Amino acid sequence: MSEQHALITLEGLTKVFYTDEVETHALSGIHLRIEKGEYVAISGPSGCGKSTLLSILGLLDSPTAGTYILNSNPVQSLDLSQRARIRNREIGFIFQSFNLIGDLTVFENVELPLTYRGMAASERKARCGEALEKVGMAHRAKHLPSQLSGGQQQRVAVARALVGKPSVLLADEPTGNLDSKNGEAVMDLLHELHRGGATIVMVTHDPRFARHADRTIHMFDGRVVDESEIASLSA
Amino acid sequence: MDSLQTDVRHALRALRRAPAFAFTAIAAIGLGLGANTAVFTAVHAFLLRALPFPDPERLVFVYQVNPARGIERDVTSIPNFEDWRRESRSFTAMAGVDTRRMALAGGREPEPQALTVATVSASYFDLLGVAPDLGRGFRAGEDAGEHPETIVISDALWRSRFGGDPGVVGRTVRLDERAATVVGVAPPGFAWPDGAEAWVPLTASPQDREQRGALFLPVIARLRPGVTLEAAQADMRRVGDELARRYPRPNEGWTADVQPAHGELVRDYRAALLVLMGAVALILLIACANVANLLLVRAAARARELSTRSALGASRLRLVRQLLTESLVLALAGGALGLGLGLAGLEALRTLSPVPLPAWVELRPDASVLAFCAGLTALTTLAFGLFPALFASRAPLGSGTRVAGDPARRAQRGFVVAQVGLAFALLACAGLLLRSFERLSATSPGFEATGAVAARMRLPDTRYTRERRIQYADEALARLRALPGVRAAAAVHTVPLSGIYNDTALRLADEPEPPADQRKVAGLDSVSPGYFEAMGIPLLRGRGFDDRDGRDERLVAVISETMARRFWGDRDPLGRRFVVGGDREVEVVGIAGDVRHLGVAAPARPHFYVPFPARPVFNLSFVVRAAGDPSALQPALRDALRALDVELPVPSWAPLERLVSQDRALPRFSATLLASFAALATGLAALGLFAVLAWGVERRRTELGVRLAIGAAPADLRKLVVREGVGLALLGLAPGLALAVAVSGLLRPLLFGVAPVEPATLAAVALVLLAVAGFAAWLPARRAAALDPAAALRAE
Repeated sequence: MSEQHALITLEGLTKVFYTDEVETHALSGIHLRIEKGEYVAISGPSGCGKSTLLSILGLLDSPTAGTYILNSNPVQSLDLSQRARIRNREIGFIFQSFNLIGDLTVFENVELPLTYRGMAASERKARCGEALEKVGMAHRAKHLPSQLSGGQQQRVAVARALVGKPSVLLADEPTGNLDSKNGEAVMDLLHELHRGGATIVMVTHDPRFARHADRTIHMFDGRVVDESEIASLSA
Repeated sequence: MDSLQTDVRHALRALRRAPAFAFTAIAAIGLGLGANTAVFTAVHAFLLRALPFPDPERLVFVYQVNPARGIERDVTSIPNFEDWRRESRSFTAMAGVDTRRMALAGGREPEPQALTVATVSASYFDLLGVAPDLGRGFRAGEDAGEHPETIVISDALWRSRFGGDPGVVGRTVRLDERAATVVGVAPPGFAWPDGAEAWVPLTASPQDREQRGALFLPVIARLRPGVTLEAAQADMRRVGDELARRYPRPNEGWTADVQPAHGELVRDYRAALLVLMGAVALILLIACANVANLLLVRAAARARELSTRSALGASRLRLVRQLLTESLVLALAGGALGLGLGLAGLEALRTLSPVPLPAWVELRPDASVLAFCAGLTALTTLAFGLFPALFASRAPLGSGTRVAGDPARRAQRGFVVAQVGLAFALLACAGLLLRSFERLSATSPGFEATGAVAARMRLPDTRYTRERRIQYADEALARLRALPGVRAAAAVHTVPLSGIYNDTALRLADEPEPPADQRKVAGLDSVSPGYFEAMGIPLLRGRGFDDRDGRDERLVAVISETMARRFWGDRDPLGRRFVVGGDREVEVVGIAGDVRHLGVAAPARPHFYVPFPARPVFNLSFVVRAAGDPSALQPALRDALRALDVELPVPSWAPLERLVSQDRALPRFSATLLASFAALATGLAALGLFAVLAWGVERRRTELGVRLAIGAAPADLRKLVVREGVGLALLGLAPGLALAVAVSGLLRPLLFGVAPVEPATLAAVALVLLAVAGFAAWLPARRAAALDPAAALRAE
C-alpha cells in the first residue's frame, strides 16, 4: 500500500517517563503503519508499552520523540485544544472498564462527544439513536449505566465511540472486564463494525481475541517485535 | 446556550447524586455568604448609605476645637454660634441643635408626658431639606424669644398622643407649662437628632445669649454649592480665631472646625463594623478554602469521569467550564441560602442589638446589598471553583504526567493550613475582645450599682424658682427617705453613665491665673446630702455634705481622688480652696472615690461635687438605695414624687445596673458577635481538616492495609492520622500568628486594658485550635484503625 493511503504512520516514536531520579523508556523507536479499514491488534505482556502506545495513538499523551501522522497530518506536537478537537472528530475510544459516566443516561453518554462538537440537538438525537440501534441498546436509552450489565455497558461505550463517525476506533482491552460470553459478543460487534469499514486498533493480551484482527502487532519492552523474536526473547 | 443548559443539567444531577458533598458545600458557602450579607447590610446602612436628606454630602457639623488641649470636637455656646452664623461665608444655613427633656401637656392624655425635645434654630428643617407632612416648619424669628411658642411634633407622637388628628396644627399645647402652638407634624420616621419626639425653636434668655463660656450646643450646617470642605474649614478657622481674639475669655485657645456630618455620625461605629466586616471576610475565605478542598477531593474521585470526557474530545477549557458550572450551581444555592441566613442574621442583629439603632440608619437589604450578595457569589464561585477545576482538568486519562508527589494532596494540605491560619487570626481577635470585655466587666464604675434605682426629672422654670427647686428636692428626699425599704436617697444633677457630663474651668486659689492652654478643667455635679451613700461611692477622707451646706455664701466641695492627685499632687487638698466661675472660691471638705462618669472604659477624670442648694439645677435625678429588691419599691417611689407635684410627668425609675449594663453593652455585643464568627470559622476549618484526613485515609487504604499486614497496631494508625491532623494545624499556626499580629492593631479602638498582642491569649487560642484539630482528626483516625487489612489489600 502506498504512503498516502496509510491512516496512521508512526516513525521512530519514543516515550520516556521521568520520575524523581528514574528514566523509564516506555516506547523505544516505534515504526508503524495502519491502513484505513484495517483491524489491528496490539498484544504483549504487561508493562510492554501497549497501553502507552494506545494513549499516544488516541492523542491522550504525546511522544517524547518521533513522528505521528494521522490522516496525513502530523499530530505529535499539537497543542491541547487541537488534540481535543481531533480526539473528538477522528478517534473513538473503547475502554476496558467502559468509563461510562454514572450521572448520565445511556443516551446522554452516547451524546456527549457530539455535545462537545457543538452539534445541533436534533442531529445529535438522530445520530445517537442510530448508534444505539447499531449496538442493540436503543431500548435502554433512558437507563443509567448502573442499571446495565457489563456487556450492555460496553455496547453503550462502543456506541459512544462510533457515534461521531471517527476515523479510527481505539479499544483498550475491551473484553477485560467481561465474562467470556459478553466478551465474545463485544468482539462480534467490533468485527461487524470492521466489516462495515471501520478502522480498529485494539490492545489485548488474549490471543483468542487477537485472532479477530487482520494483523497483530507484538510488543516487548517498548518495542515492536515479530513473533519469532517474541519466542527468543521469552526463552 | 444548548451546551450550557446541558452543563447545568449535568451539574444538578451530579450534585443530587452526591448529597452529602452538596449539603456540606452549600452550607459552608451559605454560612460564609450569610455572615457577609448581614454584616455588609449593617456596614452599608451605617457607613456607605448617604444620610436620608437632599444633597447629604453638603451637611456638616461645626465644632469648637482647642488644639493646644487636644480637644478635637466640642459643642459651642449660643453667642459663639450666632457669631459663627453671622461671620462665616461657606454655608447656606447653620443651625444649633440641642435636645432636652420637656413635659408636654395636651392631646387626648390627661397626664403630662416627658418628651425628648430637640431645640433647634428656625432654619433647621429648611437646612435638612425636610418638609413637615402637616403644617410647616419654623419661621425666621421664631427662635428669637426667651421661650418656644411653636412646636413641630413627630409622626409617632401625633399618632399616639393626638390620635392622628389632622386638625392638630394650630392647636395649643403646654410645654414645660408654657403655651405652644403645634405648627407641624414631621414626616414618618423623621427623628433627627436621634430620639427626638418633637422640635421647638432654640430660644434663650438674654443672659444665656451672653454666656460665651456655656458650651452645650451642637451645630449643623449646609455647605454652599461649590464650597469644598477644606474651604469651609479654613473659613471657620478664620472665624474661630477672630472670636478668640475678640473674646479672649473664654475663647482663648479655641477655634472652629468643620467635619462631614455622615462621617461624624458613624465615627463610633466605624471600627467595630470594619472589624466585623474583616471577620466575615475571613470566614468566607475559610469557607471557600473548605469548598475548594471538597471539590479537590471530589475531583480526585471523579478523575476517571473527567478523563473519559477528555478522551471523548472535551478540551481543557470545556472541562473547566463544566466544573465551574457545577461550582456556580453550588454557589447559587449557597448564595440563596446565604441571603436567607443574612436576612435572618440581620433580624437577629436588630433584635439583639443592645442599643437602639440611630434613626437615620435603615437596617434593610436594598439593591446594593443584593448586588453585593450576587457579586460575592460570583467571586466565591471563582475563589473556590477555579483552582480545583484547573487542577482536575489538567491530567487526562493515560497522561504521562507522572511527577513526584501528589499535587492535589499538597494543595489540599495547603488549603487546610490556610484555613487554620485564618481561623487562628479570627480566634485571636475574638480572644482579645473577650479578654477586653472581661477586664471591662471587672472594672468598677466607681459606684455600687446593685440595689439602687434612679429617676430623672425636669422642674419647669415657670414655677420653680431657685428656692422652690431647693425646697422641692428637700421635700422629695424627705418623702423618699420615709418610705419603708429605702436605705438612702439623694438628688444629683446627672447620674454617672447617663451620657450627660458637665465640666468647668477652675484654678487653685493659691495659684495665679494660668495661660489658656494650661487651665484646669474638672467635671461638676451638684448633689444632696446622702449622695455618696446612696450611690455607694466611697468617701475616702474628710466629710460629705450635710443639710447646712450650700445654703449660705460659703461654698464647699467634695472632690474626686483623681482631682486631688492631679491638682494638688502630694499636698493635702482638704481645707484648700479653688476658684470657679472667675471669682467663686470653693473649699475642699472631702475626697471621694473616682467615678467613671463617661463610661467604664474611659479613665476617671477630675471631678468635684457641690451641695445641691448651691447649684439647684432644673434637671435633676433622684437616686434611691433600697434595703432589699429595689424593683419592689418602684410604685411607692413613683407615687411619692407624683404626690409632690401632680403637674409634673410621672418619672420612671430605672436600676443603676441597667446604666452599667448599657455602658458595657456594645463591647459585650461586639465580643459576642466576633466570638460567634470565630467559632464558626473554627468549625469550618475543622471540617476542612476532617475532609482532607478522611480522604487521605480512603486514598491510603492500601498503604494502611500494608502497614497493618506487617504488624502495625490499630493504635499506630490512629496516631499516624491524628499526628498528621495536628501537624497541619501546627503548620497553620505560624501564618495565623503573623496575620493575627498584623490585624490586631485594627482592634485597638475596641480594646480596654488589653494590648493588641497578648501572648497569653495567643497561646490559649493556639491550644484551642490544636485541640479542635485533634478532635477533627479523631474520626478519620478511628476509621483508619478499624481498617480490615485483607479487604484493603484485596482492593488493590
